[in-house]
Amino acid sequence: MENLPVEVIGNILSHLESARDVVIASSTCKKWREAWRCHLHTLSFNSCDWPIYHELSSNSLEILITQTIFQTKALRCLTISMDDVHEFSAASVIAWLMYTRDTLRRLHFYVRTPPMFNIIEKCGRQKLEVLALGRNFITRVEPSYQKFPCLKSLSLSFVSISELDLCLLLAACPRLETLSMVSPVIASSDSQASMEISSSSLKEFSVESFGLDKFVLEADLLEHLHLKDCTFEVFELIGKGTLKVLKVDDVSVIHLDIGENADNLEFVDISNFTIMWPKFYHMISKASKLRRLRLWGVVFEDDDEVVDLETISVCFPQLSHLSLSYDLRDGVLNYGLQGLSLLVNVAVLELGWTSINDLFATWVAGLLERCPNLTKLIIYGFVSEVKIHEECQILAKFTEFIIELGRKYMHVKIEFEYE
Amino acid sequence: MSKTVKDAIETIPTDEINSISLSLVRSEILTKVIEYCKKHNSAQMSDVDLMDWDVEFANVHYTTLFDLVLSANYMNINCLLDLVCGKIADMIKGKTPGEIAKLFDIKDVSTYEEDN
Repeated sequence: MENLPVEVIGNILSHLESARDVVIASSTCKKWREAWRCHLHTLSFNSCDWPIYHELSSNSLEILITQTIFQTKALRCLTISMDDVHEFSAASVIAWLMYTRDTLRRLHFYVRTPPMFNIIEKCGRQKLEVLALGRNFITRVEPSYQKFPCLKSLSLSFVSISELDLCLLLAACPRLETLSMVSPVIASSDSQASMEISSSSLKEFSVESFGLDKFVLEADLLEHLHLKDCTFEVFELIGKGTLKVLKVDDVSVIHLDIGENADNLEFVDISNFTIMWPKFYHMISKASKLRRLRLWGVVFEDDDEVVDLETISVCFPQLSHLSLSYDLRDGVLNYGLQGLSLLVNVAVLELGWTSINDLFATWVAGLLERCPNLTKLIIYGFVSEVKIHEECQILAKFTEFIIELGRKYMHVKIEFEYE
Repeated sequence: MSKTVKDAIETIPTDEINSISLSLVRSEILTKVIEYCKKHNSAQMSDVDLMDWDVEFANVHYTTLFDLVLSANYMNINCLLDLVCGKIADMIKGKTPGEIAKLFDIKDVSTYEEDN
């Protein structure tokens, strides 16, 4: 321990993150105190870390945070995350931001602040690389002098901002690669409830718990698009076909448009969604590089529609990971298993049942036949708490069936995950 | 993966390189460091499996951990440095200063004075 340079001790203490742990540990010896004062780069005040945070008044908490931050010298990453009970005054927050302005690279700030306090104005914009805000107001963005030349990642949770200011903010971040929005409160100027944002550098975009009539995202370099718990009439991505990952979870959208070129798609993950198969197929059919496809808890709009393996094996020859879980219906099951082409590259198969029955067992067997190079099969199931005798019997029968299958396909590792 | 080695390779003219001197690193520790670098460069394991492997790798006596930290710091291997610092931090978390001093055999424990 004596041989460790003081900067390394500072690095170790930084991995503790929680301010309380760091302060306690730093009092171990003189060297560690020096490390904490001069070489600590990461500090976090998170209401989950210490129950006392809930009991202190906002005022006392502000003083505690100020005293702690003001003892450090080289903070690069600061996290302040408090529950809804606290609201910090502008003066304290400004003091913290001014003090750390020269070294801070990452700021996570999830605390309520007064409505007229604009945090964008006060944070050190020149060096910031990661900015995550929660429960704040962004009241005005002045693009002429407010620029974030190094910002790579921006995250807004429960943040109030107007559409215009959001567009200006994106324009002020020329190197932004990741944008994430959770429950944003967007005030729009027109009454049409539509929004259009653009960023020429954006690679990842995710939005959660949001609703709008029309949302247009223009991002020529976008690789990841993630929509969760959203309601749109229209969602349109305008880009140059660079999209690699598409994730849609629990979204209601009438018209989803990711552009004509889906050539670079590698991972498509759709869950809790109503699929119009012809439209969906048209959207992803050119994705010949697709490696992972997941259709989980999806419902087909047309009763006759089904995911047929022939189409999948022809369109996605490089598919290595397939996950399917949806209601199987008697009439269409065989249609889905028709055809002879094999899914030669699929190494992992994940199949889930919504209700256990013979159809599911048949389906599992049919799929296993079509994946000659499978190494792993994972069965996902839902087991109700109160089981009637009949359900137990079906489950037992299914278990026997899988054991038989296991004997037939000895090279496949079979796992179960039951909820 | 080691910035120190990379810099050395880039600054010394190629026909003069026979060996790169890493004077501060003992051979047993260098073996472990090489094992880590090989594993992380091979791209054979999935991310989840690699994380499990890292946990096992860092599950060593604290003196070895300190040696690994020193080596990773000297050789400028950031991911290894993060892994080992994180492991030491886990060992410190929740302990009183007295317990920490005892655990790591720290002798220079001055009395707790000043502000804070």
